[in-house]
Amino acid sequence: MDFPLRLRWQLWWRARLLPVAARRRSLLQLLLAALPARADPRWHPPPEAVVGPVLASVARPWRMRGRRCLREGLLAFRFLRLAGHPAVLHFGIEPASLKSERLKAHCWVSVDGAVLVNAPDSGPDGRTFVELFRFDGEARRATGERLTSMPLAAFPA
Amino acid sequence: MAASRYQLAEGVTFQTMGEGEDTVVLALSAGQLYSCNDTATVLLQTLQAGGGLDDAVERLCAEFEVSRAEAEADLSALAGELLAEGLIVEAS
Repeated sequence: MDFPLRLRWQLWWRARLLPVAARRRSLLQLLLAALPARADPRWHPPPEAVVGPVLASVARPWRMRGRRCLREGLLAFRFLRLAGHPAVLHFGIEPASLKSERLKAHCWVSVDGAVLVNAPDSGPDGRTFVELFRFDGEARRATGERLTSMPLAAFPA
Repeated sequence: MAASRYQLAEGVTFQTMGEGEDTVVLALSAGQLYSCNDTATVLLQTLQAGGGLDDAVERLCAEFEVSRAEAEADLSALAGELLAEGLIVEAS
């Protein structure tokens, strides 16, 4: 089975708890919580078999509607990593939003350089986002250098 | 001008949004985003490259029509603000 029942259950409750966690936790804490300790040795479907059910689980959100990409990104990142894929979570800013009252941010997920979730140039009005940093277990600049010299789990948040 | 050397604080990164655009700064621990202008961009880029305030002054004077005294004053004040926000720290 591409997505076993035990993992579908985990996806279900994580998708529903994430809006609560997002209100109470910092971005760094959310990133660390999304990172599984290790890949699931019994489960290694292709990436598209992971992404489909993940996006379907949050297809009709009534929470975090304004941060849908974050919810989708965190979930996709976690389950792709559980499936043994080297997922990377990217965060970017829309340059045009610098002129407005509020910066517009976006996150997307890639595996081996291919964007699988929420491509940064796929906005409904053609918006594009410039990458600010990425997370692959370490927080990194868009250039790949680490953002912190200490383990992220020890970083104050 | 203050003799202290500064460096980017841990967990701080920045990205220029394009030619002639402002720069966005992220402080990861606080999850805070800031936008900043050319002067701050010059300072942040200089500090990231291992330079000091004097180097930023030189660059500012070379790239913009500003006197050395004005550049020093602006950068000193800016460094104070960035220190207060925790975006830079005194270099160890």
